[in-house]
Order: sequence, then structure tokens, then C-alpha cells
Amino acid sequence: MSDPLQQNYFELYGCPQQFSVDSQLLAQRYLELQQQYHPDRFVTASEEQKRLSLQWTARVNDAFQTLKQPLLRASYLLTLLGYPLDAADTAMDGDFLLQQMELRERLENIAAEADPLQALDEIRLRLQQDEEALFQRLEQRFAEGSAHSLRQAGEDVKQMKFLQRLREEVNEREEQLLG
Amino acid sequence: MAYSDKVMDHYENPRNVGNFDKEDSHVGTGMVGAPACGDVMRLQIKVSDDGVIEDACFKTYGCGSAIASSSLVTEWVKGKTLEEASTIKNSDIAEELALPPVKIHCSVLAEDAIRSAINDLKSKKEKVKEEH
Repeated sequence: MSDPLQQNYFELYGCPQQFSVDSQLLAQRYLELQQQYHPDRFVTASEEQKRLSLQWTARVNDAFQTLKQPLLRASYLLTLLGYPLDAADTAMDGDFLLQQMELRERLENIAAEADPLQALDEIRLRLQQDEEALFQRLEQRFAEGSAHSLRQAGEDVKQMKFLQRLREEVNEREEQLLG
Repeated sequence: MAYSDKVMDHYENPRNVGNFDKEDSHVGTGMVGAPACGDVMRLQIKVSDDGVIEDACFKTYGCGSAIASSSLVTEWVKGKTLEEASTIKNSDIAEELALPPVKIHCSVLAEDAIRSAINDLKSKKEKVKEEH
């Protein structure tokens, strides 16, 4: 049995090291691994084994959280492939930032629109379309796998973070409007 | 997390919130985003023909520190030449606002925004030169 602490998340879960994952397989492997490394199975084991089983379980959980979420999975995969994200890099595609600014401005003034909830739905739909488009682009870039594609994939992941943030804000705004 | 008094002051009474006409040849627009947190910042400067920043404004969607950093920068750049404004460092902003280490990236964002606004203006001027 190989040491889970030495394997990367994809290896641990027996998933090919790529952006697309089989979410059913992932969930199934999660249950198997959890059982395999569960601290209950090490009750009579040595102290060292007990400690290790806790570390294994934590790693199994971290890996699951990372692999099941596209954004985290993409960031992790980029790091593995040698193209880690530079979170301090603030230069981004101008058109993308402009759109983000406009969407946030609309969200800020949404209470003044004729039908604020309808407007929220419009923003949400737009976000969903943007996310799906980004998702497809990411799949292509990872499948392609060249240095250029992977750098572009990094830009896509950064953009996805802005979309995710905006989606949270849309949800908060909706609660305010309904509350 | 507790914000410093200066951050609170800028957050509650942000200076120079607004926007200028992006197409105006005297206006430079800087647009930046922080991938770490999804903050978006727009900072604009209005510059006289002899290169002095006459006015500045911003709009930031982000946390209190990001809003305070951009608000402060719009106050600082007014009356400065482009060269002077380009020497503003994120460490100056962070120090003035007493930002904690986890919020340093907000001051970096503001520094990058003013740089980006200056570059936008310069590239506009070069375009005008090329056309003549």
C-alpha cells in the first residue's frame, strides 16, 4: 500500500491527472478511502499508526474538497504542472474587468430597477453562461497542455474567482431584497 | 478583524468616488483586479497638458481596506505630476492606513491601479502623436 501522504490528490484517488474528473467515481473512492483509513480501524494499532491514520484521513478529505470543485481542482492541477497561480498579479484582461465592473455597478443599483428580482436573475444567468464558457475553455486548455495553454488556463482560473465572488454577492443581495 | 481608524474613516467617508469620461484625452483609467479575493478597482486621473494631475476618482468593489487604499490614493495624487504619482508605493499606503499583513494586497491593488491609469494616459498621448 503506497503512502497517501506521498501521493498527489489524483494519484490518491486513482483519477487520471487531468481537469475532467468522473464525479461519481470520485465520490465512490472517497467512501472507500475514508473506510480504509478511518481512525476506528486503528484502535489497537501503535500510537504512531493512530497518528498517521488521522493524517491520512485529513489528506483524503482535503483531496476530495479540492478535486470536486472545478476552481480548486484547476488551481491544484496548474501547481502540479508547474504553472502555479500568481495571486499577486493584478493585471487582467481589460474587457473582462470592465464587464465585472459594470455587473457590480448594476448589482449595486439594482433596487432602483423596475423589477430588481428579475434583474438579479438576469445577472445570474449571465454569470452561469460565463462560467460554462470558462469551464469549456479550461477543459480545452488542459487537454491541449502546452505552456501557452497552461498560462492561459491560469488566467481563466483567475477570472473564475471573480465570477464566483460576484455570484456570492448576487445571493447576498437577493437575501437583502427578500428580507 | 478590526480596521484601523484611518481605514474606517475612508470606508465610511470615501473621498472622490465617481467616474470621468474614459474617452477624454486628458483622462487616464486604471482597472485592476485582485484574483486572491475577487476585488475590482477602477481609478481615474484627469491630467493637465503640462502633466499635473488635477483631479482623481475611483470606484472599488471590495473590502474596507481596498476601498480605503483607493480612496487614499486619489487624495494623494491630486496636484502631483505623473512622475511623482508613479513613485507612490504600496508600502506607503499600507503604513498610512496601518493595514495588517493579510490586507497588504489591497494596497498593492491601489498601487497597481495608479500605475495602470498613468500607463493608460501615456499610451493615449502616444496614439495622438502617431496620428499627427
